[in-house]
Amino acid sequence: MKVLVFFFGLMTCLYLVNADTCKLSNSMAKLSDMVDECSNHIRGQIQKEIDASMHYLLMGAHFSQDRVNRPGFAKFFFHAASEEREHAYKLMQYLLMRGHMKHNLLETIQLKSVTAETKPWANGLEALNKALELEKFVTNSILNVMEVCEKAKEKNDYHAVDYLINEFLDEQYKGQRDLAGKISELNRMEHAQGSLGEFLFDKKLLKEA
Amino acid sequence: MRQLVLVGVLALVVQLYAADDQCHYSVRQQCSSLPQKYTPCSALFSGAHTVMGSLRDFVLQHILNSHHYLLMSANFANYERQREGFAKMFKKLSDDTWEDAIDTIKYMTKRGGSMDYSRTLLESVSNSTLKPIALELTEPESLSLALDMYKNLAHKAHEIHGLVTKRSHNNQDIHDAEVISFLENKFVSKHTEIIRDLAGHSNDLMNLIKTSKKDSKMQNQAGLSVYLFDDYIKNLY
Repeated sequence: MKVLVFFFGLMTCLYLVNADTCKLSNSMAKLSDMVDECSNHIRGQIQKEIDASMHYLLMGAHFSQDRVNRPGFAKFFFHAASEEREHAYKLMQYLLMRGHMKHNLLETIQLKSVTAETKPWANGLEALNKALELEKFVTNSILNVMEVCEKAKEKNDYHAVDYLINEFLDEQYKGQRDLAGKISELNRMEHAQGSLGEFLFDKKLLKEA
Repeated sequence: MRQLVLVGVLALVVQLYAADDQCHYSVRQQCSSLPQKYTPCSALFSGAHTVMGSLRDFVLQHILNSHHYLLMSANFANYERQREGFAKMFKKLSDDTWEDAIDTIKYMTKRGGSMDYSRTLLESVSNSTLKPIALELTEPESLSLALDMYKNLAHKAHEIHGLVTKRSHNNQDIHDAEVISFLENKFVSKHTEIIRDLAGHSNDLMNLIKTSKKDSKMQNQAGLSVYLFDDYIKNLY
């Protein structure tokens, strides 16, 4: 009922603000020389970054629960969630710069199956492993986008590929290295001391920036 | 032994109810010589459990709105629209809403809740939002839409506030001073400020458009007005 009322209000509001009289004529400039295939794949990448962001958000939520109580892990994953969202924004900005972010915006980000396959993670180590998997998936997807942009029939989009390498791949590989390092460390600590290992590791994560 | 069973049943009932006096019992059991299954201690107390579902919806609505604002920002940042002020404002709204979502998740877990949400819940929330409306909006349309989205959020905050406001005397303890305090400090006045600002912007812009010159053959002469308004917004946010 509330939804209906809200929706009705929205409709009346939009009706009052009559679209036609408010519309300004658009620019005549034709900017884009980007190949659709390439830009569509970059758009697809935006969705993947958002999916990853939601995944990390759930991880953060999981580790901040009272019965899990790993504030360090939670902080790490919440931070990762915001970072992935920032990546999505950066890709968006790139497409805007190239003049390829004009139509069907609504389809660019959808909250769909992000949470369907996430199950609670048994422990910190498992979550870090999942995170590494996720990063590898995103990296592969970027590599795939680069390939499309490079081999697009009309022409090789050097700039898009270069941007993806410098702004994204670089960060992906550094992030993966960081995760892998954390996994080895935690693995050793847990192997030696069981749950004390994770407890100490968590406090260490909390201290990190 | 019978006492122990009785206490056990009682503890279970208490746990189902609000999980209050359960931790001590659970820990004592675990530390006794008899091996028992350890039930984790819970931070849940007072009426927080009654609003966890609503808070979950609230978080999801924030996330959806945040993504929506991000796309609205993109809509104004392309070279044809070229509205830096609007793009900047919507990016800020998106960032704020995102931060609020994370803070609310943190608050839920602080109060002993969790964020595991089912798919159906996600669908029910996403269906109730602004799905059917296209994003390629004009400037005044986008302001009015943002206003309505914020009103919707504010409404939800007030609703949750109402759920934990009443203290009844028959043990149905749903009053929770902390949830109220969180909502009041974090959301209520902020929402009001934003709603007022957006309403003001909407009316300003509509007045500018309505009074701009209409007599020539051109469809709309508000270009300069909207440009100046955009510049004003850019400096404001």
